[in-house]
Amino acid sequence: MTVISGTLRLASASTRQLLRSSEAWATTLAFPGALLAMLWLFSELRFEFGSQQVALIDFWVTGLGVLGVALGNGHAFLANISNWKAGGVLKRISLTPITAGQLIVGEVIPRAVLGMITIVAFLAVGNALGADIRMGAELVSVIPVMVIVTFTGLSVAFVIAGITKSPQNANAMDTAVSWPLYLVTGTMFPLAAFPAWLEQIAQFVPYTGLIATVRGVVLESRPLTDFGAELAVGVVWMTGLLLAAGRTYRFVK
Amino acid sequence: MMLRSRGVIAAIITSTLYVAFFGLIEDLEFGIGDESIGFFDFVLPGFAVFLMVYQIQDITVAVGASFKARGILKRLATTPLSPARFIGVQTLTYVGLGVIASGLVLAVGKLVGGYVAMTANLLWLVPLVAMVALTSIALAYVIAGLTPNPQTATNVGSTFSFLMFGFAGVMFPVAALPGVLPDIVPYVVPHAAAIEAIRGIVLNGDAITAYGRQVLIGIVWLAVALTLAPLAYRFTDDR
Repeated sequence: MTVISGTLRLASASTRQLLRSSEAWATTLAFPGALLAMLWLFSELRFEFGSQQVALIDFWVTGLGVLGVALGNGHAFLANISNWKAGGVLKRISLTPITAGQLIVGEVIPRAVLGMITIVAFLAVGNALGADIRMGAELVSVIPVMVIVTFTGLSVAFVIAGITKSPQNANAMDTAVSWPLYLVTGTMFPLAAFPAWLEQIAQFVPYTGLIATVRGVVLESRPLTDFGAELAVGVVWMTGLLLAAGRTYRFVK
Repeated sequence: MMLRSRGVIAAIITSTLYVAFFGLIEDLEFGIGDESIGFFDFVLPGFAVFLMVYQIQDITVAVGASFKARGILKRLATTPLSPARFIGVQTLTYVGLGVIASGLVLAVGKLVGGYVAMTANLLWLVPLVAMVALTSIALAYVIAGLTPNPQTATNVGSTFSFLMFGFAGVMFPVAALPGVLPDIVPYVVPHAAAIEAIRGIVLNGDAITAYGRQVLIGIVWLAVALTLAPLAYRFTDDR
């Protein structure tokens, strides 16, 4: 069995396990579904700030579609990998023909695919419920952004699992990290409504630029090239977090 | 024991931080039709109650489901301390904490720029917040009692809280809902009527007498929750 075919078989097994997991269904279907239903009912509501206004459903479907789904996916993934660490699974795996790296890649592939499918489905259902989301080439052009979002979320999960000692601590740290992100990335509230200093700082927070990019593309039909600086910040964060993940989450002791 | 609990301390700190953060939002309004409502002033009273109550409910669901899964109340039933008294005392402690923490959140909200009408009518918030907290705790025991294990209880509790957050007038104006929903929601969504009364007292300095209907609905919800809680959450097997 080659390394690649072995990894693909692991990915296939992880996919089946993921599809049987009630937590995965809750984070990818039940919670996003309830949120969309709520936004649909409040579709007459809008945010007004300065001389601008935006429909709540447009703003939250794009913001929470990106961040909520990414963090939800990362949270479920974190539960797995922190338990692997606590239970010494990777150490034991290293005694078998399967490498810990293969196991990790086998888990990451279905999570990443599921995360991206969920984000795209969330935007599509949001459109069907009345959000002003462009469903043509715009949706295709944000797929690379979704890749950055998804891998940033999964890298954060690795870092947290790596630096915490138990699944409980990992869960608590994940919650502590996630909630400020909802508030300062422009996910739920327009950054233009905040003081200028906070708006400036927020541009360098992970996800802020990526959310702005998705909004600009799917709500205003702007090209990806308009968001060079935002995407650069996103790529720097993703790269830094992937490197940090490799350093902090040790496959074997 | 409660004051040493990291969960309770975290609940108080995070509730306060959220409201302090919202105070940074300088220029945001909700628009409904031709009307505009100041965002922070609208959400402050609802959040002062809900953030704390939600977290108490969350903790109670987790504790109640854990007691049930581990058979603690059954074992407690063999001691002189009755499970009912044990739960009652614990509940009252949480209600007291909820009232104090809601007051703290409101005070922080006022300090960071939120509007609070400083009248003697604010004292009416004490029984109103206590009523909301007690209703939430009773509903938490209903959830813990009707679910098969702590994981499911936590998921159901979170979903319930999320729906309250959306539809009880905490975050969004109920008036923005379509059709007849604004007329129905205060009756069918727990806490919605009480939060309407709390918002009126905090923002307008209204007397409690202006909210007779809302208080009555809140009392009915409390009675329903207190009736369902012991039916759903069995203290011992022989009941």
